[in-house]
Amino acid sequence: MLADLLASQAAMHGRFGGVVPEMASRRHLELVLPLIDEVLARAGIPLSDMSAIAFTAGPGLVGSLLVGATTARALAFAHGLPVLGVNHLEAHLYAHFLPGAQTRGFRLPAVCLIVSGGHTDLVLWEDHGRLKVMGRTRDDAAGEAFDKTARLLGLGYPGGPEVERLARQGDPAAIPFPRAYLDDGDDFSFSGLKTAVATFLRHSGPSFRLADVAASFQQACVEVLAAKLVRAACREGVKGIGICGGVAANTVLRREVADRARMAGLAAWFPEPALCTDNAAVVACAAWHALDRSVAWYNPTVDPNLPLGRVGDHGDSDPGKRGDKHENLS
Amino acid sequence: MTALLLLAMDASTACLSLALTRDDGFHIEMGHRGAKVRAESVFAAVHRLFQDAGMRPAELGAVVVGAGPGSFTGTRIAVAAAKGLAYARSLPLVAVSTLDVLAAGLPAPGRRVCPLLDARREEVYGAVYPNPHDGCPPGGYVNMSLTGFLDLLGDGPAAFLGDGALRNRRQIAERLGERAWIAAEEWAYPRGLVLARLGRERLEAGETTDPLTLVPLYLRRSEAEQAWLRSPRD
Repeated sequence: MLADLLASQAAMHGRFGGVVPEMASRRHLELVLPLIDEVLARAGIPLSDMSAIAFTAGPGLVGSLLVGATTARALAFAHGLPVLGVNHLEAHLYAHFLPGAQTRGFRLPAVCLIVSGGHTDLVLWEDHGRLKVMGRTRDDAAGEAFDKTARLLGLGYPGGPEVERLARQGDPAAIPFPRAYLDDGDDFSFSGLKTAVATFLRHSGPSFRLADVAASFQQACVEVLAAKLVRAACREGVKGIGICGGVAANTVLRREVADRARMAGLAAWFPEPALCTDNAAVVACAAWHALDRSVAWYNPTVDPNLPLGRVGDHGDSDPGKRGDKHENLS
Repeated sequence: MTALLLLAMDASTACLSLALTRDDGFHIEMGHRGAKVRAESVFAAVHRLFQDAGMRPAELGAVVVGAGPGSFTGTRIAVAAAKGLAYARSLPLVAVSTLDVLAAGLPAPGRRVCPLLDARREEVYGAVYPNPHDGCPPGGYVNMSLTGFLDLLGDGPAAFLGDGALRNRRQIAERLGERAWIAAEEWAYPRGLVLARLGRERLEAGETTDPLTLVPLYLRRSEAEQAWLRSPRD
């Protein structure tokens, strides 16, 4: 990796308790070109020397997706470069292929958990371009449960790091919050856990420590995530597991997954925390692997609800029908 | 010296307007009304424009963009496209208000010109041009209720155009009677050639902008931000 930069808007959206779509789009438009300018300067390579330009085609907020897609197309058009739309979730998975202390030797197939503020997906990743979503959340994403719990505890946004920080001083076994295993299927549910935290805070009087609530909530959450991940890997007969997405930066989740993987005789891989949260390096990595297997020349549209395993051009997954390098000018 | 090739783009209204012009008189113009403006449709149209012209992006000499006000998303797409192109090829970039383009599109109106864009919630984006061929409006660009705008305008004769004028034609007529002239629908959307002309004039006057810092002329905050500003805080 030659250069990787990121401009977070978390502080700006914090006072609203979540991302405000129009404000996010405006800020992205202000930030995207200066950031591209700086990343090119740091890499020391001019734009015209690029082989391709990749952007996130979805899922995500449509206004923000359009800023990225339009900028990517403009840069590509200006220099006659191919432009490639990448699935945001697939990009998260590619954190496993980036350099890191705990990603060395990562191999496919693997069962991976994408766990973030918007998604909790259990994926059988057979090969590049071959993914099967085994399970997903039926209600809140795990990261959403962290955000909502943080709000209940009077902590800031985003909630994940705040809850983790407070939980360090708490007892994870203090409060027996519910674990939703959903008849041992591969789906998840976190709204019950969030409600249990709210109910506990409302009814238990002042005799508890907030740190115990945070630690007990976190423990309930990571146990279910880790248990389902390991069980799915064993059932599918794969030898390795991995976690990515913003919540994968949580050290308690990483430890829980590592412990359970060891007991089950599985290899567990953990991308660097900075590459677990949203970043452009994983988008580039996913695009690079797509170029590598030369099925890349989509003419992608953005799609706020893009499902995993699909990029743009809905229903047209025949590589022969995709545009060639020149058609990608349009 | 070769003639300067200029690309003009505006997507701030329901019409995607594009033009490719050269100062030897060559031009191609496109106006798409009704189709949803998206990143891919802008570049599909830009690509077609270059194909029809038999030209390559490398021949481009300047970029002009309609910077709003108007649809937040549409304006942002055109501005992002213009910023990206100008940055990537180190081209001069000119931003022109969509209201200027509308006003300058009316030939010899002989009276004040008021372009009005529908801003929803019973509001308009507008400006008053004593003479639209003299450049920017002395009173600036406003976002207010139609009533407020007409109060500001006073009783003298005026020409109205834009989707905000068409939508509110009855209230305008009731207020101003025969002193109001409302332009027909074909004048209601910014024209690529007019944008290109204004862009070329401003380029010659040295009024270029930095692609790294250009932002649209929104004239209005997001609703969440407005609500937050209204709410009491400690």
